[in-house]
Amino acid sequence: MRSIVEFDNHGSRLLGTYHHPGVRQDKRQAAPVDPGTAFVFFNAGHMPREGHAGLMVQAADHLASQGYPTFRIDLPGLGDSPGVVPASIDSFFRMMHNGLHVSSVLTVLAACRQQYGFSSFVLGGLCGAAVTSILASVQAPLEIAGIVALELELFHPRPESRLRMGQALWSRAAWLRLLTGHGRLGVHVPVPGSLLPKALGRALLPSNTNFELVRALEDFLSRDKPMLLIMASENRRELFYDQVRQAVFGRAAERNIHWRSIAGTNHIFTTGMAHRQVVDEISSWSASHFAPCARDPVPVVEPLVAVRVNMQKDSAVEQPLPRQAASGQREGQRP
Amino acid sequence: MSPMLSPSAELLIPMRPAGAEEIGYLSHNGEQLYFVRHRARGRQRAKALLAGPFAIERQLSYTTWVRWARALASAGFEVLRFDYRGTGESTGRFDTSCMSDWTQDLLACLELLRDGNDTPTLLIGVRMGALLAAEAFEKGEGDGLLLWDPPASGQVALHETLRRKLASDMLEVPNGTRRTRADYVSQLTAGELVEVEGYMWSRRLWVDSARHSLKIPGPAERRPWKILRLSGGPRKATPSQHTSTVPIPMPPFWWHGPSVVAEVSTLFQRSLAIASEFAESVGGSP
Repeated sequence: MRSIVEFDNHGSRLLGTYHHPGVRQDKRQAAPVDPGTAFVFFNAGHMPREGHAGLMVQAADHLASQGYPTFRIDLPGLGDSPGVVPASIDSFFRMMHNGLHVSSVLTVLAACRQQYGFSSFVLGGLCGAAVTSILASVQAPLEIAGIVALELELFHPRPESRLRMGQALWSRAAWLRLLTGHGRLGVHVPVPGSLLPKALGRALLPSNTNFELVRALEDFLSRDKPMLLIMASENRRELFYDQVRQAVFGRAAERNIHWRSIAGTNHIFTTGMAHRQVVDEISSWSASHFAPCARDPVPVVEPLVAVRVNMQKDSAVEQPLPRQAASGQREGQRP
Repeated sequence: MSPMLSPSAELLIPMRPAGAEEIGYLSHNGEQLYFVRHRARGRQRAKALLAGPFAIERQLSYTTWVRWARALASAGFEVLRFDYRGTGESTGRFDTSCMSDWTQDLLACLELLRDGNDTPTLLIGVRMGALLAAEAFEKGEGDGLLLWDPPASGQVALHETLRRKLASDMLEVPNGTRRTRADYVSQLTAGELVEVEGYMWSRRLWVDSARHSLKIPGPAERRPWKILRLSGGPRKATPSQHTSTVPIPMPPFWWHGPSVVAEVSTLFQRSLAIASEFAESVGGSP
């Protein structure tokens, strides 16, 4: 069962879909119990909130069937939410990496807390949504209980210039690759050399690294909160994550990040039957870290009554629609 | 909707409603069909049902489709757009749905838009939605029809998507086993599910798509209709009373391009002029 939700965002509105968890309500409960943790997913880049080929819809449906209340929200200007958007995709990703949507995410969390009583949240989504969730975690350290990061991009999206012979000596990116075992000569690095990334740490990160994002993730991990990281195997985002992991995150990553790599797929998981694997990973990770909610605090918005139609207009059997269909004054359906 | 510059000199495009927008679900055949109703700004001239494109084209064209709905609402149309079952925000399984189901969804949403009154209603479709809108129009539904770039049939549209899949296969799995379009078609006809851009295509979808060819209204048709071919290059079709070509940036807004918001103001202006003319000719408010 799904309902439409909306939140005020400084005079504008943020729209989204809520997937009601499959919980059995105990009507005898005298006082409302804390509904617990809600999952909140955001737009994958500039795509509408369904995600690529409905990936986030599938994940949300699955989580809801396990008892986790799940929201999918359109950030300003994306999907059905009003707002402004950068005209070009390059600008969009540049601004998104610099925290374009963080304040809107915090608004959503505050509204979910006030309107529905959720005390903690697992944020996430694919690519841009993962970046925004991690950046937001710095500003809401207590509420954010976990992160689901699909295809996390720890670098600013500008192309790395191709190095000519000799230039690699002065390139941090090349040294980072070499010392973390990802360069062409990586297999020849002796054991003492492989310890260098940890020793050099952030100094080894190339200039296109999103340093603020790396710091935010370090900060999140330092609080011993869990993160699920699902990457398309061997693509540049995964390789870069591994380099940063070795150079910066160390044991905190091993302890708290559940890293899954899916082979034979692409950045948006639309090949290699990856959707099923992504959904299963999210599902099992959630079950091992969070309790299903005790009650569903979001009122169910009944859909409008079905209209029976037939292709032959003359034989169409029409049923009157309830007037509230047009009024739009019910929960989640305001004008 | 004029563009504006942010403090950091990035070009920002406003995505703002023209008037009230109501979002909800319509219960139909056991599924929840997602719809957005855009109320007309000012006096209502007519109503318009928007039939959107297929699967991946839906996601990629979403921003343009929302802007188009808002442009119509600004011009005095009450607009309803929706998601077919198994796609977007509607419930249902894509791998068991087909174009015939989506035609039924379209008709259910048309009834919702009409809401029991006889305000003239236009059917406006893009790509696969254009096929479904034309089909409903042929059956006597709607008072006017505007189609954006309809394929010749549902199966032609699927063939086109498969061609793109082959290109993606080559780019994403350069050392993988090469398959042809014919291989995928044989898999589908044999009853296997085939993953295309993340969607699971079924034999039912494939077979049914062949039954949905573009229903071009006949010479006896008195209700107004128009087909706009969208092209980035030379004209695709010889202009006629009912068909003309409108330039749009390539790749088209329903495919991967460099913009979040495609520059399609010419298309919007032409289409608004046509919709207004239709509304007037079928007795809507001027």
